[in-house]
Amino acid sequence: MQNTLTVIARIKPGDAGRLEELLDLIGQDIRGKDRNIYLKLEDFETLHFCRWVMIPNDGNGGQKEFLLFVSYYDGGLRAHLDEFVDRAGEAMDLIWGGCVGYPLTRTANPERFKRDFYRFIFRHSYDFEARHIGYHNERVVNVRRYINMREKLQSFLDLRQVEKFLAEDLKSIVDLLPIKPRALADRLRPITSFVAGLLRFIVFLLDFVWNLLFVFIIRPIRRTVQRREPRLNLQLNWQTIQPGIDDIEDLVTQNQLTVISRIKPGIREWFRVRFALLLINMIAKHFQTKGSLGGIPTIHFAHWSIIDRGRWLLFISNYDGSWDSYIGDFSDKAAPGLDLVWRSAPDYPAKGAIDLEPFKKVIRLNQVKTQAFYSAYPNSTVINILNDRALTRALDRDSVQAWLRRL
Amino acid sequence: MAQPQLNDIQGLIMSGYAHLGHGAYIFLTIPDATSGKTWLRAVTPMISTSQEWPKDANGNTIKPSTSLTIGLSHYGLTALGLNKAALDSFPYEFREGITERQRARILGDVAESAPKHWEIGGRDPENLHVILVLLADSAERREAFRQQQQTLWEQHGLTLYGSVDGDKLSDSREHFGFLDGVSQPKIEGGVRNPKAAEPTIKTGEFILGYENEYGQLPDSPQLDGRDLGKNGSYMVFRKLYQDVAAFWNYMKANVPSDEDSQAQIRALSDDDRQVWLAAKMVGRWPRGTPLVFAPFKDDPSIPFEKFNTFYFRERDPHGQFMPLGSHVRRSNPRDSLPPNKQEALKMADRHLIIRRGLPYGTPLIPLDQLPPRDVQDDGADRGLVFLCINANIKRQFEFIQQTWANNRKFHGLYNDKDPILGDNDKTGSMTIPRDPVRLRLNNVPRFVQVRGGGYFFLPSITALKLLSAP
Repeated sequence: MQNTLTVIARIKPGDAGRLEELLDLIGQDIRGKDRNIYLKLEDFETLHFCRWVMIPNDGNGGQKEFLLFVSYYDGGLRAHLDEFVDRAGEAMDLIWGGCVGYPLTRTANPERFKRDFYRFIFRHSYDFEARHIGYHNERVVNVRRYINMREKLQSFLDLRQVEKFLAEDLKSIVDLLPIKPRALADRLRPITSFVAGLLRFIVFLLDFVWNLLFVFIIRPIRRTVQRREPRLNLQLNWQTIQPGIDDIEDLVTQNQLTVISRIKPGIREWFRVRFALLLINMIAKHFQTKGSLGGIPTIHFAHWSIIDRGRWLLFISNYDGSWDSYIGDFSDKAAPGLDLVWRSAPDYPAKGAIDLEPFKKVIRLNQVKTQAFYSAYPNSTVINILNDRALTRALDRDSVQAWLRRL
Repeated sequence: MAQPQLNDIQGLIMSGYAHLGHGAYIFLTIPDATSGKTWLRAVTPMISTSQEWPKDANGNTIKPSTSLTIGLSHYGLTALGLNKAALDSFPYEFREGITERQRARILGDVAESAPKHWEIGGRDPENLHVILVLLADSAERREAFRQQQQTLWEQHGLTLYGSVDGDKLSDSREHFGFLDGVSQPKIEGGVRNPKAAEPTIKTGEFILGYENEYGQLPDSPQLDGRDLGKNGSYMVFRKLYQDVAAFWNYMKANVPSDEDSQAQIRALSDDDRQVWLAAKMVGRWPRGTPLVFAPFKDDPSIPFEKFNTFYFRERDPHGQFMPLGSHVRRSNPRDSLPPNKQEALKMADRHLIIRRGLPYGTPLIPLDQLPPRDVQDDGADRGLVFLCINANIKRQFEFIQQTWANNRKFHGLYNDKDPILGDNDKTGSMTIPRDPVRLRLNNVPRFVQVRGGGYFFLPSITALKLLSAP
């Protein structure tokens, strides 16, 4: 089970400069090979992707006022945060210590600190409204195992003797294998797949109704009586592209995108944005589970969160390839859905995302610079990972071993 | 569909002038706005337009014996004294120029190909203001033409920044020995479209002021409320050095042996296998035949007319004929990319360029006898003057270079860049899909180096008059 964490905390006045320097240093050496002696994220077992983003507030003279952290992780949140404390406690002090409300008693009582750290993160966290995952239910260790296996097989195949052996000797054996008669299960496939489809549709309907209730009734009630989200009072007047926006773009196979756009006030917009995101979420969760969303096959993880008590919409994406090809794909393949979500953002093109140049411009204007971006498998695309998985899953260890024993 | 105004559009946009095999690519510096403008006024009437060529009494077209094209860099427009608002109305990739740090990285202009090593436009792009493309039907006529132009620009105080001459090689081959310039899109409403052109692309992909493949009008620069872009376009210049010896020696070193796993390959001679390997990298046979029609040996019965009319999805979905990573398949993947034919074609058609330009330097190898024997580099400079025309440099030229040529992950691959145009550094591979087992070449070196470059605005005749107005 993969999960999503979105945290926004207020940076202590006077700490922004130090924090920016630190995060830039970490971001430029995210794998900890050189100057970054603070964080060795590669050792983490629960972490797929993460990023730190400093959000400037124009209402505060453009000061970097908030620290945004996003991670995609395996398992429960507690275990994920414990891993940060256990493996990088000092780095957490240095990074989160720059934020208001950070618990300070790490060395005195580690267990208590873990609990306080969890509370601190949880209090500043946001739900996602819509999310897409490129490869469901794959733990980091599995993805890495698939990659490793494929790389080994490829180098093995590079040996010309192996190629010849496979092409001739093994093929002569394979040719002797009987062709399996169609099993009963195969013949019943049309019926079983119909039933499976029907069941899936029922599950989708139930989930859809539940989500409608949750988003429009349960959560608003709970928010008013229980946990009030902190008010951030974000004021972002996106008029110019943030300097250095592409500093850490196109360095590895994957890229990051962080966009914060305005949601217009008013009850109609309140409903419209939530409903659009709910629809996208349901489609991504129930129907687009094979690696691409709306025909875009390059998204590892992406999500939308509504922040600052409904005033701003946060979009996070971890995608393959260049920014231009990704935004081009938005326009080519997913324009109607994105128009539904972003239509009310200021300067959004009147003709929608299909109007590529103004669309690109408005995305860049609303994009916030990511200080540090980490991926657990930086050289793999979604398509690569799915292929590696199919390659590995075709064989399973026990049956191959059992088969070999018979010889 | 709006008909393009042919007499306002520069000739090179609509025509490759295939009959003019001798070119001079001349780069100039403008000393000051006044001199620049008077020179521009003098030269504008000589610029070739896309107007239909006249016919003689028998109805035969009279082809021109020369042609002149002019392009201005952003520094050039600045030197002409354009106001800031007008300068800022140009797209940012054009304003920043080809040598900007990030841009150089995504284009693959790194290491030996980095702008600081270039002969043209790399070290001091601020002095590269004008490109003149002179084409002529003979070397003598090119010289006379150059003399005439030189007198004119010197009269007005412009200075020569650099130049390179290009000459058509026999059978329109490039220096590695392959037919070049086959794949060209057909411009909607265009004249003189090449014979094997495919498919028809909206005018606005190549000329400002017309609808593009998105059904939109391209962004257009403005001068004091007037449209400066209409009927104009953008041109990319790159001087590409080709290491012919390295290319063919690589084929020789990596040629499949008599023990190869594929019977069809074992049946070929060693020479034919070298050509086969080179063809797998290019995607065409030296004569130009696309590999989708002839996977093991060229088939001379396939006519030139079919060289650009092929698709992948039905015939060759996995690249068993034309490898997924080959140069031709990457440069225009046609219907090949996911998710389906229609989406793939729509996407491919939004990232096309018109290619102009000629080879430069003398051939190292006999181009009609491939593979060459015992090739050794003679140290001479040779390669291709690459010129391409597009309405949006970022979405067309740069996209092709970044997302198709230099992308290790193109089409589901793992670690392969374009073997011809990619910025290979011996860490990548070239995968040749075949049954039963693929052939993978590792440590692919870079065979083509960049030695010059620039982004230019190709103004319409109207815009040239606006720009040169005192």
